[in-house]
Amino acid sequence: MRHLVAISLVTVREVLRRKLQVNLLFFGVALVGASYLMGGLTLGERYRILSDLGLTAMQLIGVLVAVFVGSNLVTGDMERRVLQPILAKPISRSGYLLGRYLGLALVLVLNLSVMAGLFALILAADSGSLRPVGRAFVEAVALQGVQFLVVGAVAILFSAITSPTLAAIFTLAVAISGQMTGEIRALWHGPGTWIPRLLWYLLPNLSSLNANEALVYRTPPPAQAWLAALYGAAYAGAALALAVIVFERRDLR
Amino acid sequence: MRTFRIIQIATFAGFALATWLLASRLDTGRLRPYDVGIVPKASTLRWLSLGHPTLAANLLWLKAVQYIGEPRANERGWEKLYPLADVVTDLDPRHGYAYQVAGTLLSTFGHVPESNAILEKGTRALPDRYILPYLRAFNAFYYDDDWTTAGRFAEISARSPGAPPHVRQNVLAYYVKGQRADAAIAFLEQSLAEAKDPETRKAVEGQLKQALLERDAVRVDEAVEKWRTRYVIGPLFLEQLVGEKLLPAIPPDPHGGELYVDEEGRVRSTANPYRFSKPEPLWARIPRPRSEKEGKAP
Repeated sequence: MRHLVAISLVTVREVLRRKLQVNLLFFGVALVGASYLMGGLTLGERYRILSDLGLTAMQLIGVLVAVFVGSNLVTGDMERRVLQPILAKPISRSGYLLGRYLGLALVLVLNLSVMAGLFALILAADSGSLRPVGRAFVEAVALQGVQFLVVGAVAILFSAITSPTLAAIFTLAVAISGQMTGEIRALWHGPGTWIPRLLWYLLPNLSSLNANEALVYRTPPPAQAWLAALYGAAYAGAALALAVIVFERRDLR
Repeated sequence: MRTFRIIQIATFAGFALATWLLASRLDTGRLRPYDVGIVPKASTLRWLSLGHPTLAANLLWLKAVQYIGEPRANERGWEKLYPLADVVTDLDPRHGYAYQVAGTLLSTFGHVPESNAILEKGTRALPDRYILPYLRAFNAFYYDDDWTTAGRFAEISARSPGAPPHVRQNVLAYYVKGQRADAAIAFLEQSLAEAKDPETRKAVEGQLKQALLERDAVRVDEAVEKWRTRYVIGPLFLEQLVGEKLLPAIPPDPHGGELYVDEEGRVRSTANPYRFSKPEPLWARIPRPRSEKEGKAP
């Protein structure tokens, strides 16, 4: 456990020093800020544009950080030859992998907190009250956090299997496809439905973790959303378990 | 070395000048009024939005706002507004303001069937937004001269939560003008049964009395008209209409007064002389939608 915490803290420090992470976070903050300006372009119901664009900007940046930082964590260590000295110490491969994931998760939550804080400030300043930063807001941000954790787990899985570039490409493809699962579900009728069914179960159902509509209309997310959060946790767990299985057998030479 | 520096600066200046010249050429495209080339299908956008249909709807709505806000919109035409609003509301059926704005503008610029379609779609999707059936009712009487349909939509509007009390008065007026006072009476009787506070009760009772008066007064008006055809001048007393068998009996005044015939030949109540005016003919009411292509009226 001590090793797990140590590796995760090292991961947090390492990621926070990376230019990619800093640049993406800066870009995320700028995008959330830009949603305030976009809100001024509409005709009535300014909050609708502001909340929808702001939440999507946060999601875009959070997913990009999870993809590009996560996919480089394990294989990056292998390429730089820093993995072998670590594993020479009394640290198991699974402990190392889970420590890396925990560190990534902390960074993702940190990023989300910074962007959500700014977003909350903008919403409150725009409406002149704290009403938009209510339960719907907190739940939408929480669901987005689960989404980042799922994408992070997938990135770690691919990072344990292949090279950083391929891992980033595969994770990005899965993250995009995961947003389309709602549409894939609509293809369950008619001949050859086993393909969409298979995809539905194989891909992470990220679209069920989107709470844009609930935030726009200030309604609590449906009960299904919490089921989706549990599902997200289970999916992340499965991806990490698979990553551990693969990584345990991987030839590190 | 110095020559090389001069060549570098000259190259930069050449490219900068070319960029500026080309940019000013590119700008000519903006002299045309803002238009939307293709309105994508909602199903396509749903796929492309990657699980964010409300975002796709909002981005398309921003495009629609630019389309609406173009100062030379009449020169360009309004053909794309309905498809835009239709796709926006397909992607986000709860986008109430899109139905409202598109419905209002489409009818104003002569696209009344499209305005009706988007307002009816909104009425079905958002039963708690009273303004949508209210605007549909306006279209029905103002553009289509269809008072009964106006009454039907005003009734839907009046039953919506949060509808202001004046909408009930519109229901009464539209039904009466559409010769459907019976529908107004049925609606007001139900409203009276559902009224929770004494003020609303009092207001509905007054409207119900007016509806009853309008229903009976139409029959008396017709009898007076027949009398005039027969004797040129109007009757001195309403009892004369019964004597001539033009009416079976003089109906009671729901307001508690007595009925009389005014100088225009319309029956009124001594307790409350108000009567709804007869609807103006359509041609007297609607200015034709103007477009710059047609030129201005002299």
